[in-house]
Amino acid sequence: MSNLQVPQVETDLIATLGPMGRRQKLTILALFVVALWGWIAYAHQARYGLAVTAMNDYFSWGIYIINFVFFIGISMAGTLISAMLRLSGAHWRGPITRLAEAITLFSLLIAGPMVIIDMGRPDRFYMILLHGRFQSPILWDVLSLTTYMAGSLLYLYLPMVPDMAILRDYPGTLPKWRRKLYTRLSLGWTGTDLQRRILDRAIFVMAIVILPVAVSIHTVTAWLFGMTLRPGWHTTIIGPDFVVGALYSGVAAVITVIALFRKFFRLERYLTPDHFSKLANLLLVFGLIYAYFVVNEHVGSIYTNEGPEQRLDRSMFGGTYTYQFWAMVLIGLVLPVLMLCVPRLRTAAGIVTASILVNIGMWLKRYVIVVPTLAAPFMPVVGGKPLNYVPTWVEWSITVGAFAGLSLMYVVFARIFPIISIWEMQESHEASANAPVASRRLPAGAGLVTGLLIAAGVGILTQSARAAETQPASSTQPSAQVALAVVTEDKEQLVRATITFNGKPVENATVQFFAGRTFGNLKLGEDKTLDDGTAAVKFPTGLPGGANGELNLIAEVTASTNYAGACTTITASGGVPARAAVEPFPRALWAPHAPIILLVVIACLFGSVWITYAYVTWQLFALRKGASQ
Amino acid sequence: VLIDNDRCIGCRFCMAACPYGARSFNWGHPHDPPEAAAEPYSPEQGFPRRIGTVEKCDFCPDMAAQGKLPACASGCPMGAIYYGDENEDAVTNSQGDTQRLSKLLVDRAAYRHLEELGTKPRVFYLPPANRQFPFSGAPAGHEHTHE
Repeated sequence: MSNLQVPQVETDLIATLGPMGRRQKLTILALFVVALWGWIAYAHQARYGLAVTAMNDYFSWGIYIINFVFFIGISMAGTLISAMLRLSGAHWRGPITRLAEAITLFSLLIAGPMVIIDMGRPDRFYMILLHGRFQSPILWDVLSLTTYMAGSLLYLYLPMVPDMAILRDYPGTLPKWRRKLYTRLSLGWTGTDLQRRILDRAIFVMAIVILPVAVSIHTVTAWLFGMTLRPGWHTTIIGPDFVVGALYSGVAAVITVIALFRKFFRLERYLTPDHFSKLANLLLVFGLIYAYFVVNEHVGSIYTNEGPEQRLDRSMFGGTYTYQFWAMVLIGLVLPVLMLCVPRLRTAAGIVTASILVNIGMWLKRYVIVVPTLAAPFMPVVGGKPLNYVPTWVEWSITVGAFAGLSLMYVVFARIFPIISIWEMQESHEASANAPVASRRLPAGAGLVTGLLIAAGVGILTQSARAAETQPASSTQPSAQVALAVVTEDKEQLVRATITFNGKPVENATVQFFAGRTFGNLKLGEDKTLDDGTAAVKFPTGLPGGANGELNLIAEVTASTNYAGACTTITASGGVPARAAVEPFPRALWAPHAPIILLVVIACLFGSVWITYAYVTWQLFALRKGASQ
Repeated sequence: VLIDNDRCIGCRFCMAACPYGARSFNWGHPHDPPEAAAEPYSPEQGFPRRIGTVEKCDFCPDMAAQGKLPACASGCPMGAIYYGDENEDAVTNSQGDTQRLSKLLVDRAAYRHLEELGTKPRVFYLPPANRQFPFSGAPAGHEHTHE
């Protein structure tokens, strides 16, 4: 690149914004048509419900969630290239940073709607804001995704400010609306020392803060699966697996996009084979780590052979999902890694091929994560047949439409804004080898030490087991009178019924005793009356009663047909007082209210990120003022 | 487990998470009988049903509030299904037979599905007892023979 002149850089890169050729117009038209088809398919789904998909009560998630995870995955591209390479001072990143950051923003803009497309009631999305529960990973994902989106928008925009000024001042002809747009977005940038300092600092701060946010979005997406009790999902490796998988597919996405732009925007002089080679190193490293993770994912469950895990593994290694699984291993891991290892295949073409394979393989990997686990329920399947999920035309149309929509947004972006950072190219050209990255101290951390003590209040419930005294019995049967009482005889509590007829005790009648319950009467026992007309059973110990331990006791004469049916009910104390369970679900995430510690953690994590965003935005205003200096 | 189908957004996270596969989804427009569709909605009765929302057996809380057994228990001709309030320590079947829950569970060696997952399911199964005939081929435990 050193043979390029500074004005040459400017002309070359601004040329990408010039009038479109026929091929470009056709590409945009084709992408638009496909994206429109996706919308039509969605309209069909909105009309008839998710019944038009192949999802069912077993496969409650399908291709939309696969796409969601995939697009979230490639969004790692921007963070990785821009932030990691920026912080590590890798200068070769120059021409590819914006390209990668744009992938992040646009793939997030597709990933978000993917979830909404998957929702049964997208019209109720606002309910998440009204009734969202902080103990639900769904809310974490919503928080994390919006934070990441805002961050990547800010992070894409910041390094674009000087370019906007270059375009604003560009002497060539530009349409009026473009000039206006660039002027507005340039924030009065004139390149003063103060402005440079402010911008450098803002970019640096964003580069740092975007990294944990990126890790959070991939981890939380993984937790949507990991926080369930399902084999293959409920694993400790799923968080790191998603992060490394995202790095892997993110690098692959960057290589693929670079290849496309090199070809279609004629940027061969800027996007050099050297970039492919450097990125190929990254791709190889992440591929090897990811392969290692995949082995870890399965080797334990194969070895221990636990029931549900075993069913899942069998379906992948030699069952319904054999093809998808082994295709993923071959296309996503083995072939690309081999291609990147063998020097003869490590040409630009070979690297691009490998990265396309990785993209396909990683989509399959997301399929293998989502679908087989749903096909391996714990409980026996109705009908006993192995389950399979084959997406319908609606699902495929929306998927293809999403990819087209992503490409469309990307191409339109590249038509309006220079896809390669002009000022960074000029600077790297001017400064040549002199690294402009001065060592900097990390800004003082937020220093958030949470010393929260949770006092658990334990309600002590006293059980009053007072001996009950009799209450007046109310006779309901005119034929025979039943008097019921709780008495103590020989230190033993008894429920005693006295049967009389016209004031005379009835002998040898069978009496059944019950305790009243909501849905039926619980039999306590039966007894025959003695010559004094009494029959008795033991008082039921430990039987729950009402709020104060009151029990409804029932005595009914069942034999000696003359008196059968005579019955009485009394309310006696002596039961165990009913009490609502103090904490029906002691596990925090099920509880009706989020545990305070969780709220504090969420508030600290997201609060510090958003405060940083606010700081960076405030710096943008400072940028405007700095112009006068 | 009540589901408020006026609030459910239909993300189906609960379905994917349920190890029992107990939940079902209104994938398309539900077909309610006209009299059910005319009822005012309450989470306690679960109808009128709503497209794009999740459903689950909720043990008919509307019937429990009236002191009636849920539909499955009261409709079982064999009286194989008992239902009751654990706080009352009693369960009742369609024949009106009421048993002390704590004793029944111990005496009949009741078990629960996937107890090891810590989900604390409230459905207990009583293994078969006093079988008078050879029995093979069916999964054990789903029916029990109480007079």
